[in-house]
Amino acid sequence: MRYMFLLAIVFSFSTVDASAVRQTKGDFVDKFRQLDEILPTPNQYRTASGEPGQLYWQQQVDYKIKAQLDEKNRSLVAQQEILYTNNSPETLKYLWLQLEQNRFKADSMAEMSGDFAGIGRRGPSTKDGSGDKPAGISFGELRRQQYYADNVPGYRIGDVTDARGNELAYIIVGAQMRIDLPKHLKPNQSTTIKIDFAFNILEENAVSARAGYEHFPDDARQGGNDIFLLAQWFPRVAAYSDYEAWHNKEFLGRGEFTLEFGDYEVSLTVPKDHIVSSTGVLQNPKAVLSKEQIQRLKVAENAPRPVYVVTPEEALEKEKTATSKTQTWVFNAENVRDFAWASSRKFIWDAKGYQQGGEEQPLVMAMSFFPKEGGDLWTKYSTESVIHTMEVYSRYSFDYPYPVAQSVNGPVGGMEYPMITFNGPRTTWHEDGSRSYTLAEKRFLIGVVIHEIGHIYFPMIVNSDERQWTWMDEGLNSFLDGVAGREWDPTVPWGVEPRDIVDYMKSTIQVPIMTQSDSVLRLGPNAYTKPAAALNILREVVMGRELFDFAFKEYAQRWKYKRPTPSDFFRTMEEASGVDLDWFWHGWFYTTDHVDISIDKISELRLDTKNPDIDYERRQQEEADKPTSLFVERNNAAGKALWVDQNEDLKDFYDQNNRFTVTNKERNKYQQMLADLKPWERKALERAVAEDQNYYVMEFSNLGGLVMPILLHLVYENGDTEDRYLPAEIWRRAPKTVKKLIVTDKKLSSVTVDPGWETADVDIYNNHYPRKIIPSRIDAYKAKKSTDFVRRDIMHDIKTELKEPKVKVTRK
Amino acid sequence: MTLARLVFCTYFFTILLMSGTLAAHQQKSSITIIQLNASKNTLEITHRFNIHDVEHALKKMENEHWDIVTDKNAQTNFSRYVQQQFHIKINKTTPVMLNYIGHEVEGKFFWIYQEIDITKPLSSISISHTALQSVWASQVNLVNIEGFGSIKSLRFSKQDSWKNLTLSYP
Repeated sequence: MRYMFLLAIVFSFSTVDASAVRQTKGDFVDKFRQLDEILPTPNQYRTASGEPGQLYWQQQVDYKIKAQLDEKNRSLVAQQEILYTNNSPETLKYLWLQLEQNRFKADSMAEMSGDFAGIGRRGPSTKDGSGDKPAGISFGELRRQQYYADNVPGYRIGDVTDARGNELAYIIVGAQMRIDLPKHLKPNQSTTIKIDFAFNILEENAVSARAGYEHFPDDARQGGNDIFLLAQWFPRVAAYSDYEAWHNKEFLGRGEFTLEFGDYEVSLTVPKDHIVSSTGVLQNPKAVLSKEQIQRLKVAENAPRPVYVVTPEEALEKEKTATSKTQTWVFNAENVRDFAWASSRKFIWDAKGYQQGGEEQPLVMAMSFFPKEGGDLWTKYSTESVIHTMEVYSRYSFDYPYPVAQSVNGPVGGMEYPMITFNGPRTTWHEDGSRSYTLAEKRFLIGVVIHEIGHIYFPMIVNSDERQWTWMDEGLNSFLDGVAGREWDPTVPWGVEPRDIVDYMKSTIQVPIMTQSDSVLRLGPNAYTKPAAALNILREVVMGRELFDFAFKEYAQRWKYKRPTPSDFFRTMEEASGVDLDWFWHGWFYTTDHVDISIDKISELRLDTKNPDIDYERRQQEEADKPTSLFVERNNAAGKALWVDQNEDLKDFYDQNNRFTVTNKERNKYQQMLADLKPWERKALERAVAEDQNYYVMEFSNLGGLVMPILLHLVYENGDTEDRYLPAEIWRRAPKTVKKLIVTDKKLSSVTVDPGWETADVDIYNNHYPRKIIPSRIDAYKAKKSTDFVRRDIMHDIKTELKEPKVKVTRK
Repeated sequence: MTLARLVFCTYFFTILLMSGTLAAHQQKSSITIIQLNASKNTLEITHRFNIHDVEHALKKMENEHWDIVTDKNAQTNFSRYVQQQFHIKINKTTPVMLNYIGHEVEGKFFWIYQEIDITKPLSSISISHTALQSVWASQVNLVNIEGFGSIKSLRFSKQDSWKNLTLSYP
């Protein structure tokens, strides 16, 4: 089924260009061809409007898990009960589960398909040998190899049974598992499956996982301390959808996850001095928190700034000791598509209530968990960034629907799960015991928290399929994190400007955005930057904010807690805005074209009045305006006497009347022409003659292939300026060159296409008419003064001591 | 089966902490534009790196924390490093010396500028670009060559050494 789907995409690609519908004569390209053959046929599950259809369904998977963290051996042992409800119209004979921990096993597809020294590989570096140069392996790669030799990664699966304890047949295929159901699961039936499992927690830094432990050997406690981040930590039932059936495409490390929504009851048994941050709401605070901590949480609900639930001093004190006692934290989460958690005795914990109002979730607790290594950077900005994200994202989508939103510092650079995110930036320790952070690190922290909390909306709630389409969550989220960042502080260079993607888009090495995650050549520009720039352009240039924001919000709300596909996004954006965007989706998402619009020529025209008394006079003037012949000029200069001047007496009629002389013959013809005109024609001509406008014909060519609106900036001789917008549809019948007539009462002096660099046009030089000398970046740099403010070494200069100015002693 | 030699890459020996869903900031990719300036008869070379990449790379390379936005030494160090990692050969000669023009921080990016005078017409260019590839294996450096007909692109991943392009003037 999956392969069918992929094949279908590939085929539909080529159908447009190569098979069913094809231009077989001439070179016309229909840039505005509707996406009919490319998008899947609408049905009762997914409508033509991009909405969930009447019969839309999705599976429900509820989990009850009891897990015990073995800190000393860094392993996890757990028992889980899955309640699977089949809401589909199909009967299921088996269930597929994702076993992501097995991705690190030696026999996983990810490991076996790892290309030595290959591209796009996650983790430590390797270098291929070439010629007489030996191959290279980094310490990092050695550490990884040795780690695998010493630690057995992957799940150890124990009993797999039904609710009554009868063993179930199963097979493990790499990082996936198929459990055969003893009785077929019919529509609207549920079944319970129990699985016991255990695994060694990976050292995140050794294997570049998305979770794992981080060891702090320098802590006061003998042997140091760890931070545990647990994600992809239980066998999770794969998604089963109307468009792909089982989403059993094995995890290769990059295409992330998509799962079913469900309710979770999770008990986590950890060392008694640990603090746990988790998806869900703590069910037994009285058992695991002190009265004081509960009190502090209460205060935090209405506090103006985050309140410590565990202070830095308390956390530091805990770092020094060990305990063999454990306690169990119980968390419940409703309607989430995954579950992750973190545990450590190192955690400082702060919280601040976000009073968002509304009916669904009036109060959200924003919380951060971080070790002393996070320091002031985290104290000041983590929880505040969490709240800022919710304030902005909710305006563009829906109220944040969960009771908590958390940011946890650990070994993972940035990763999102429902209600909880892992974020990497930290402070730096100095010899004198102090900690500081750079301006860039501050921006990284705020940026990464906004980005990861933003992911709770997309794709944790608007449940797009990350394994297939990274851009659907990364592109949308990068676009929105830019919106949120600019609302935080617009002087910080957040987000994606169209100009940032220009050099990538004009290169010949790229794949269309619509490419499956694991096959994308360069994930950064392809899945994050280009789609984010595209959405930015759509909003600011093509649709306008009002239409875009309405449609985008409609998409978010339609697919909240549901599973959208790219076509649902494309269709909703069109359907809710009333703007035909097929050309935009096709150009930006299905091709590797770029934008390069050139203004090639402007012709100035004047309307003939048809009145010979006026028009002949103009022709005469035009003739007079032409430069005189150099021959004649030189003869004049040489004082050559002319025959006609020397023979005045021989002058005749034609010397008195030149070829532009009007006779009644022309006047009669003109009057007859006027008399023959229909009244409305005569009126139009009279008005046009009276107004005597200037007519300019502008010629544009599309060199990049991607059609875009033409943004014109007109400068007139009198100094006036004017901006005009030519919709992209101007290219519909002539995709390569178009002309535009502009009628104005003023004289035009120059024209610029896209003066604000809003369309990702890759060549600025051909955007000016007349052409301008545009300094190259290097020329501009050379000309720049070197007293740029950003060059000031403020970090150093700030240490300068204030001195009293030397006062000159003057005699009284 | 021949026994290939395997050695340590000794220069960098820590691995990358950043992983997971990257914040949009760290891209592990750079873009270099090599542009023919026909009026001055020079090749202008502009390297663009993401600030996020640069600062984290410096931290790994030198085990020290640098503030790339404000610290001149950090900027100079990184600029020099990139110059050591980027080489071109013109018309199949030995690598040519590139004139260093400068570097600057602008917005999200760190820019490095180089230049070379063209003394005779270019028929081919060979490029090697290994910046940051010893720091993290997934670093990709994209090079666009402009001014010789349609844009040509080369992509440098960890395993690439020299890549060659035949050039013709439009």
